[in-house]
Amino acid sequence: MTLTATRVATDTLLTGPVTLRPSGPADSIAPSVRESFDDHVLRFGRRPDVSAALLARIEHEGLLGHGGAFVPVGVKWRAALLRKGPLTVVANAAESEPLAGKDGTLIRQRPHLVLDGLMIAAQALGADRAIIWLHGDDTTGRAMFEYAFRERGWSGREVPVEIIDGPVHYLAGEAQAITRATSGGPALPFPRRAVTDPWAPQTIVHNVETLARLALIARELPNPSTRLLTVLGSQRMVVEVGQSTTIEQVLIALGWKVAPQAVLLGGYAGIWAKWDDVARLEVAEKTMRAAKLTLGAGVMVPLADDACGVRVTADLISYLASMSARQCGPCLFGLPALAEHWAKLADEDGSYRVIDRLRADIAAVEGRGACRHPDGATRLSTSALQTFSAHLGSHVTGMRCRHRSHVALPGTSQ
Amino acid sequence: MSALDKPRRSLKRQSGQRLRVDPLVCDGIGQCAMAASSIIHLDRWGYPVIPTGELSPADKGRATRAVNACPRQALWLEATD
Repeated sequence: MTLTATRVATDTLLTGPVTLRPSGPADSIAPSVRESFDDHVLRFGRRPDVSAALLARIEHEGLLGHGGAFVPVGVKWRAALLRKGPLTVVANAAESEPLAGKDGTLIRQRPHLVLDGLMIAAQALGADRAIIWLHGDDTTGRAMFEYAFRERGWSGREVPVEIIDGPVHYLAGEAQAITRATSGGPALPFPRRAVTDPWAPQTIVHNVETLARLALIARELPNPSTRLLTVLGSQRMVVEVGQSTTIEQVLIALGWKVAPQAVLLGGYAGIWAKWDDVARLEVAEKTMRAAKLTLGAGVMVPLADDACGVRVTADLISYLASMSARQCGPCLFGLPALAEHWAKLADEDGSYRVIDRLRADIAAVEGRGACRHPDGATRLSTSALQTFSAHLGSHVTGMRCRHRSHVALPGTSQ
Repeated sequence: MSALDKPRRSLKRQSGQRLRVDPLVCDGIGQCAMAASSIIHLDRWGYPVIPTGELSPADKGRATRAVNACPRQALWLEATD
């Protein structure tokens, strides 16, 4: 192996870009390169022992959670270290955003980096239990980990590692849902109440990309300054790009010739943005947040010029309503109400009054759910009202929508 | 045991209180809005919309009445920090 190859390989998280099946688990259409345990050790060296300086190093590197919320890992660790109860560390590989495929791709290409990260976190925090959490339908993901265990000759090392198949549901990858499931409850999110008992069992959930980055940081290798993106164009692709790459550059690199009208950022519970507003924005989360946007778990869906954003939004909101945990009033009643308004707008069956009612219901639901699920739907609705405001006019004035191109996002109804 | 030094806990100052509702437990019965109509109203599905910020001393009494009125014990007062 040449020196340059080594350098390139530790600078990135993925072994290469992949094209995935349109929906479901991140199974690629053509086989992608999987790093074996021997290659992994050759490239990165063995897993280092945890030193007392690790937390400081994590904070110095500014490691953030890569599941979409970008919570600093240092903050989570400090909170966990303050408490004394038995600790479970979870590697979250359940990507609930129907299009997201970056975590699934990572565990297929570099499972050992993720496993190292999980063991490092478990050791550093003194965990009693380590769990790999997957969507129930991700059979390849599970097989990848099982194979990785065999490669390592693992049979319950320092900390026992379990693989758990979660349900196949939009909310099954949510950290609170996982916490509840791993302690014997249903895999549904629940509201955070301050835990007062320092001896209560606790669970810390890290996204698998976060753990892969942790495995590099613990080796005193740089945290790769790249971002993993899943982009749905004519194909669903996972790519790794530099943080300073603009959204326009990403699409050009993926073969787009014509600018889309808008982009859905972050996934089905994401934010619509007009193309002209975001084309030149860097994909770095910092840049996104400065523009009051987020790419969340790195999902991007460009909307072609001749597609109807109102129709797509109606499908998305109806999908989100169907994926409610059905636990609380605002979600159980609020989301179907939003979906109903959007369906009316999409069917050109309403007037400006529907928009007014929609706005009123958005305000009524916002911030009141037991979990953040309803907030995803209100944020999507609000951004759609802004982004498609001009086009929305043709839906409520009887001018008829001329954007007849059929766009059905995977998993949503049409 | 942890391999890292445990960070020191810092002392928190006790300040005001705020009203919280557990949306999982709440069944939209509406007793809270009757007990404290000046600070709680119901949305169009019958679920309470509660004040989000710190309660004024006058509202604290009303909030306590709402907490006590709930047959599901879905409401509680929490220290703001």
